[in-house]
Amino acid sequence: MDRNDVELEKEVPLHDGFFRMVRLHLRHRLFAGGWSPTMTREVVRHGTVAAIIPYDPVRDTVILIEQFRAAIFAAGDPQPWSISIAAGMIEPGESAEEMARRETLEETGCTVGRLEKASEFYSSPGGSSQHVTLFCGEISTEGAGGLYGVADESEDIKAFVKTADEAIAMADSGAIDNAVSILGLQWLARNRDSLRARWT
Amino acid sequence: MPRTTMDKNDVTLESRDALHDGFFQMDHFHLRHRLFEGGWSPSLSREIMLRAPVAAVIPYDPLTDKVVLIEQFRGGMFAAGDARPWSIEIVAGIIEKDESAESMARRETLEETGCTVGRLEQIMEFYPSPGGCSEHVTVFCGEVSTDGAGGIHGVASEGEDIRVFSETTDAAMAMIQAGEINNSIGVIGVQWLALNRDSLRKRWA
Repeated sequence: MDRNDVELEKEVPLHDGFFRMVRLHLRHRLFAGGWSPTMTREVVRHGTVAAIIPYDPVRDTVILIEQFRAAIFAAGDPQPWSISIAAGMIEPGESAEEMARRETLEETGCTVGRLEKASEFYSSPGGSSQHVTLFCGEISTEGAGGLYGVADESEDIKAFVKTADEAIAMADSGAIDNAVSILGLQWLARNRDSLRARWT
Repeated sequence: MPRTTMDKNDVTLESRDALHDGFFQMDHFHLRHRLFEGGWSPSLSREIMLRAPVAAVIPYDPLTDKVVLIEQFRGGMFAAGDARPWSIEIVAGIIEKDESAESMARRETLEETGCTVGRLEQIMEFYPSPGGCSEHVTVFCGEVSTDGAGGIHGVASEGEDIRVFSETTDAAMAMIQAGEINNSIGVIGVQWLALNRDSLRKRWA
């Protein structure tokens, strides 16, 4: 089915702050034929995100970042700092590629060379419109690491280098606990040999 | 578990106010946290969507090397303007307050796919979108038989309308490559299967 199989009856604003939340009243076509009754769905209208696996094909290393996440604190997690790959919201007028390069520089200090799209996905499509474009970007991790982030945006980021094997093991063991990073490191585990052949 | 530099004792919650309390809840947090270089951040304002924990299941048949997938309408994709707001996923649902993640995983797999789960292994936990949402997912791999799996399922009173089908692991991976499976839980689950099915099939054979 596609978008034409949905009838939006109305959209009610619920909150309009940093995030925007709406309630959709809609009907959609059913697999068995006919139409559903009117249903309501609360949805956060979220900006588009670009994320990047910053990979050094010569040293077979990645750079990871650690930062505070208020949502993980709100979940009651004893460890509300999260280890991840670089990611951020795409600004209006900016391409996903430009954003991936800018964000990698801001969050890790690394300049990106070659850049390949790895995947696109919705983080949590039941209740959020957030969409992520994931790249793998070529960097050099020589001398990389330290404290980064845009203070204006209240970012306080610790960047550090791991071998690809160590980072993949961190995703397996739960030390890396967020979807974008786990998905990205699984992608690296499956594609690193062909990527190294292309990039070295 | 995460071996981060800091923990919850390095955060001071100053205030927490409700912004919305409906099907979902959104709260406004004001807080400060310790900085890596020492000292404390200024007071930060953060809007957080509060969501109940979720359990997800990769319904896998080790004999046929097939995974059961479901297709359903997703309001978040419709709101994003997606031309195809139906999503191909693995099984997932909210864990009720008095229910374990394991029993929910079995119940939800039966409700959404009609398949009964045999062996069940927890494989990982993660936050789908920790920039602004507290949702937490525990992912299991569950042993099912894909013999006869299919049809239309879901709890009509919850507005569920779910099409069930099964694919080989390789075909499901090709669906990820093609962008046909494009939600974080589904991609992570199928990629996990592609990376771990050999050892899983040995354990479950």
